[in-house]
Amino acid sequence: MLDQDSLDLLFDSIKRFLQERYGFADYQRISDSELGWSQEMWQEFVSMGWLGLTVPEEDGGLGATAAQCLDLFEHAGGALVLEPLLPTLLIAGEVVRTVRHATTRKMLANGVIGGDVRMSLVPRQVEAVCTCSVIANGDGFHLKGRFPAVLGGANATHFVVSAQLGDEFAMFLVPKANTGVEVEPVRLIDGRWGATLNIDSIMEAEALLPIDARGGQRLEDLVAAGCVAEAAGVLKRALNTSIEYLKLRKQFGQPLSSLQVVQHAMAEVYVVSEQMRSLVKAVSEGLEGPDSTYLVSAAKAYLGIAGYRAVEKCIQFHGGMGITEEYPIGHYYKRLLVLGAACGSASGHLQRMAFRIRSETR
Amino acid sequence: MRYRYSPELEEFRHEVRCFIREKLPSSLARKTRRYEHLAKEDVQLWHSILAAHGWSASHWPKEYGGPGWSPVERYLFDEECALADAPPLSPFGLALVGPVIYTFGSDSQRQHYLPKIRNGQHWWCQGYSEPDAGSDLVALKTKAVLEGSEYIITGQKTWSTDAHLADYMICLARTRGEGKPQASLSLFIIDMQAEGVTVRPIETIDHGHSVNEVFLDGVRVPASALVGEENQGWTYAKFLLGNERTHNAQVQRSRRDWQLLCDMLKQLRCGAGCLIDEPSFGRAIAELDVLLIALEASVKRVLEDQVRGREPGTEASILKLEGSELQQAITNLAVRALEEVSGPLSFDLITEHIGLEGPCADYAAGVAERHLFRRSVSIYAGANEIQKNIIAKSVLGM
Ligand SMILES: Cc1cc2nc3c(=O)[nH]c(=O)nc-3n(C[C@H](O)[C@H](O)[C@H](O)COP(=O)(O)OP(=O)(O)OC[C@H]3O[C@@H](n4cnc5c(N)ncnc54)[C@H](O)[C@@H]3O)c2cc1C
Repeated sequence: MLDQDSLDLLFDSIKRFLQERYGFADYQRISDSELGWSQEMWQEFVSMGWLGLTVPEEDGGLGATAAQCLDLFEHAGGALVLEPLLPTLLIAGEVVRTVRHATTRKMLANGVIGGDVRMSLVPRQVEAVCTCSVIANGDGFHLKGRFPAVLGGANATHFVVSAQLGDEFAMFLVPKANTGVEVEPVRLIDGRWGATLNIDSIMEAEALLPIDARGGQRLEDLVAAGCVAEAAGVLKRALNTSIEYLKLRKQFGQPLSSLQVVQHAMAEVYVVSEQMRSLVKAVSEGLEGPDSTYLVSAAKAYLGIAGYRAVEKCIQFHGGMGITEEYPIGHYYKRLLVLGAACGSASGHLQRMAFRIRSETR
Repeated sequence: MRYRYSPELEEFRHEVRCFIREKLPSSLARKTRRYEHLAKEDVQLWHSILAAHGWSASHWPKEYGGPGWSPVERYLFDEECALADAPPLSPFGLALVGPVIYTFGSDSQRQHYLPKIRNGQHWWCQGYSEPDAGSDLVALKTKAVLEGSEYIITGQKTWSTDAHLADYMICLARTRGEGKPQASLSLFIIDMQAEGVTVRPIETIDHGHSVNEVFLDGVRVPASALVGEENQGWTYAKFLLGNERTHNAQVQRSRRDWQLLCDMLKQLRCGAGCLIDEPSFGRAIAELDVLLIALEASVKRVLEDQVRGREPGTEASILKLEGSELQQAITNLAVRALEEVSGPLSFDLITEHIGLEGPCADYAAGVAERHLFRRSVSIYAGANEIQKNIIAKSVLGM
């Protein structure tokens, strides 16, 4: 496993790179481009070794844990990075680790490190509108399902899909290239590409990953933790942008930042932004523990309640500027809304927490 | 729950309802549910249908071509329009400029402008705000200098809604350099086709285009373009803002949004039932109804005062505050519902995919757009913090 010092060094370079090369203007240019993300930028990420972060060392990666990578997502969130780091980076390592077939494993590991394999996780959270069935078919399986709003879905080369196989939980790695895998790209409000996935496909036996229900839950927790970390970065940047703006903007002969209502509002946003960062830390420390799912739910719910409200306040105090596409603050809000809803919304997570609390006291 | 009015008023409501049912094209109703920003042709179509029946300038007195309704009748008319998803008419000519012109304008202005506002031929925009004069509107810098029989107007306006569609702007400009800043403003009518007028679009976070920057570069207008008296512009503008704030309560539209949201929650599946069975959603929709009932009651109090001849004062601030927060609270819940069943929001939600049908499906398809643009309802027409300042100062004497 990578030692913390080398990791810190890498994160410093990532932070610097994003500061220099991924400013708001770069984000806007990339977002407005036809593709909606930048392949050149992606290649830069690859050449700096980011994509191999979680790939095991024996497969040529850096072997970092997902928890160790959350810092990266804070930086990426703050910069509003549009490239599909989020699902891939967090789950690729775990998935590669489980693949038994040596050639497949090598191909996947190299692909991830080189940026050509991008994985997306289909969360079970959206079960209300997911339909999914799987049956054994000779040596392989017949997977059938519809999955809306899959984060990173439009750019993914592989989908990690969970399904019920008889009474058993099953998880499949479905290559996009398989016949019967249909990807309908959906542009999310933050400019990133998700997808609705239609699968009606016969898959080989090796598509079934040796991941049990707990392992499946863990993958979802990882992606949700990534969302929370990105959100913490977004919140911090939203706060800083607002403070800068409020110090410059004058009405009634004084800077808005000198008004007490404004000061209090920004103090509240600061509190939320710091709480969010604390939650990221708690999540990253708890990811290997028994309560990781519960903790991730708490952080996700906090994001969907306090986080949204905080950036709404920032918009309010920008006045008209807050609702223009030209200013960053609205983009932070849209990114936050997407992060809040991906891998389960606040109300979904609260329900699950309530369920767990009930079952414990009994 | 439905509030009961006197038999005469219920009869009136029935008449309005029948008219709308017969005349409103269903495609327009669909678009109204779906789109936050409607195309000009769509709004104009409905405007002309109402105008042909004498109902477009519903708030105007009879002598200027209004139907001469009482405040309660107007309220019911607006409510019926909202409940039927009729497109909201452009408010600038009808609700803002018209009343200013018939109250303060000259006879020739009345004859020239009022009929075309009424029949929808002329579209108006409001040029008050400037880059450095938002909440502090009095600080505006646009100048109007009298030269012979013309005023020459120079400055920059911003956030002008519909300026790109408008034939005229009602423009607040400074007509003298000294004295109290409030007492040196005048109100002008500017032809948007005049030389020196440049309109530049501002894109908003919902990817819509409704607001604009307007550059006024030595625009010449005849002296007759001045509304009322010189240096009285602030009085007129305040009158206009008062109207705007009552209008911005938008309580009838919110009632309709609430109904559509309710239907959405009843259709969206969640576990074995639907979203409305889920206690947090059931309670939330009920809480919104509480706020709606209270706001409707407040609006009615203001209307009854108006019937007794008392024009709204600071109550307008209450309505603006509560009304705008309610509009936002409704889309917040709609967003929560969509997040719960279909994950991250997109501008291109395919509602069949989440099992929605009927009117609420149109509404759901526009939720992302609407939610984002609705961040602005607590900002425009006097930001909510400013309304609170007004209440604290002029009502509470603090
Ligand atoms: C969608 C939209 C449509 C609009 N349409 C029009 C139009 O058609 N015509 C037109 O003339 N204008 C229009 N406006 C402009 C609108 O009236 C202004 O945005 C509004 O007056 C606020 O001004 P500002 O944007 O400059 O914000 P600022 O004045 O810069 O205020 C920013 C924030 O600071 C707060 N603040 C400012 N001063 C104080 C204070 N003293 N105490 C406490 N808080 C304070 C405000 O409440 C706000 O939250 C529109 C605006 C929007 C967003």
